[in-house]
Parts: sequence; C-alpha cells; structure tokens
Amino acid sequence: MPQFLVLPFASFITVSEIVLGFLFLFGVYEIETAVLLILLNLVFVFAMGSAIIRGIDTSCGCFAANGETLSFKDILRDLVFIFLILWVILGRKYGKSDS
Amino acid sequence: MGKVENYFKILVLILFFSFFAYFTLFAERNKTEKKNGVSVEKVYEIYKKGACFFVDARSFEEYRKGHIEGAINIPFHSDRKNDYIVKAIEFLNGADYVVVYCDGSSCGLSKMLAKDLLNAGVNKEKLLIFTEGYEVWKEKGYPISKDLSFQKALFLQQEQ
Repeated sequence: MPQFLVLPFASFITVSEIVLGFLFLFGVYEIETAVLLILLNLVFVFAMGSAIIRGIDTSCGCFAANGETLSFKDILRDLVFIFLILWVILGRKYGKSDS
Repeated sequence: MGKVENYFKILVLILFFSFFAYFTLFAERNKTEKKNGVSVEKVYEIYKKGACFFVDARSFEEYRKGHIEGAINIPFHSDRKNDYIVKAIEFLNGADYVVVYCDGSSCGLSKMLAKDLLNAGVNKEKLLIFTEGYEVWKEKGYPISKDLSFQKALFLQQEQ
C-alpha cells in the first residue's frame, strides 16, 4: 500500500471495528452490522492468508507490539468470530420468531 | 441482507469518526516525529561523518535482503535480543551516534528497540530514531548492503 494511504486506511479500519462492534452489541441495524462485520472479518482472513502464503514479514505495524508474527491461528480466530456473529444473528432471528 | 439506507447510515457514522481518528493520529505522529525522529537527510550526514552505529530492528530475514551499509541487526522479536544488546552495548557507547531504524514510519520496531537500548545503558544524547526507515533510505539511493560479515564478526567474536 502507498505510504500516504497507511494512516487513513488504519483509521478507517480501526474505527469500523469499534463502530460496528458497538452497533452489533446494542442490536442497532442488526442485519446490516452483521453483514459488514462478516465482510470485515473475511477481508482480514484473506489479507492474513495472503501475507502468510507470500511469507511477508508482519513483525512491524499491527502485530509489532505483541511480538508474534502471523500464523494460521489468527485466521482461525477470525473464522470463529464469523461463526459467532452468525450464531448471534440466527439466535436473535429465531428467538424473536419464537416469541 | 438489510436496507441500503441503513448501510449508508453506518458508513457515514464510520467515516465521521474516522476523520476524527485520522486527524488525531496525524497530529500525534507529526508531534512525535518532530520530537524524536530524525530526517533521512540528517541521518545521511551522520552516516558520511562516520563514528556512528546503525542498528536494524527488523527481522534477520529482512536485514539479510538489504540493510543500511554498516548496520548491525538486533531483531526486536528475536529471543536473543537481550543477548545481542548486551554484546553490542560497548560498541554502541563508543560511537558518536546510535541510529535505530526499521521499515518506516508505520513500523514501531525502531522506537521499541530504542527504548530497550536506553534501558540497557546507551547514552540518551547519542540515540537517534530514524523514523523514515530503510525504505526511504533506499528510495533516496543511499548506500545499502547485503553483507553479513560485520554482523557475524561482531556477535560471533563475542561468543568465542
């Protein structure tokens, strides 16, 4: 990514996660938030997978502080998040229709 | 899949807060760079004068692909980082400047390694963080190297 785009992109992604997280937590625009969260997690999965396959050193930037480089467990974690989002949405949907 | 207008509202909300985040981060980064960072031109002047040590905070694989000529590698994420620091400290304190760098301003390794070097006893006045990093140095066409002999000589000799 061009250097000048790094900061705006980082701001956008970070804020997206926070805003979507809060909206999802409080059940605001449930379906739309869930769809966007799943898409966001899918983007992360593809980006991480691409970095791992290409052997890109990710010890800088986002992952610098925790001292770990990317591995497949990070991808698995995001897949679990996607599963949990679907579980919550289906739970809310069938929970409402049951009552 | 939901209503299009709701997606639009969410996007506007995200963009609104993103602008705040961006300008806050931008201002903070400029302040930090002015306070701690050194420009590539200044670093090159120091390089030409000699009597300085460049410390590469990236992984050994990145260092091997190319580094600032004469730099030693103390990978921040290495298990042996503290061993390298202990072995290098005498050399580092003998130099006029110790310039720590990594990939660039979006990489935080140089700042974190600089903190470790300070804790290990490197003189604060000598320590400089080259925030623009290796990529900008390379773009400017300044001397780079793939030679590992100095790195091996420095750390291997200490082990014998």
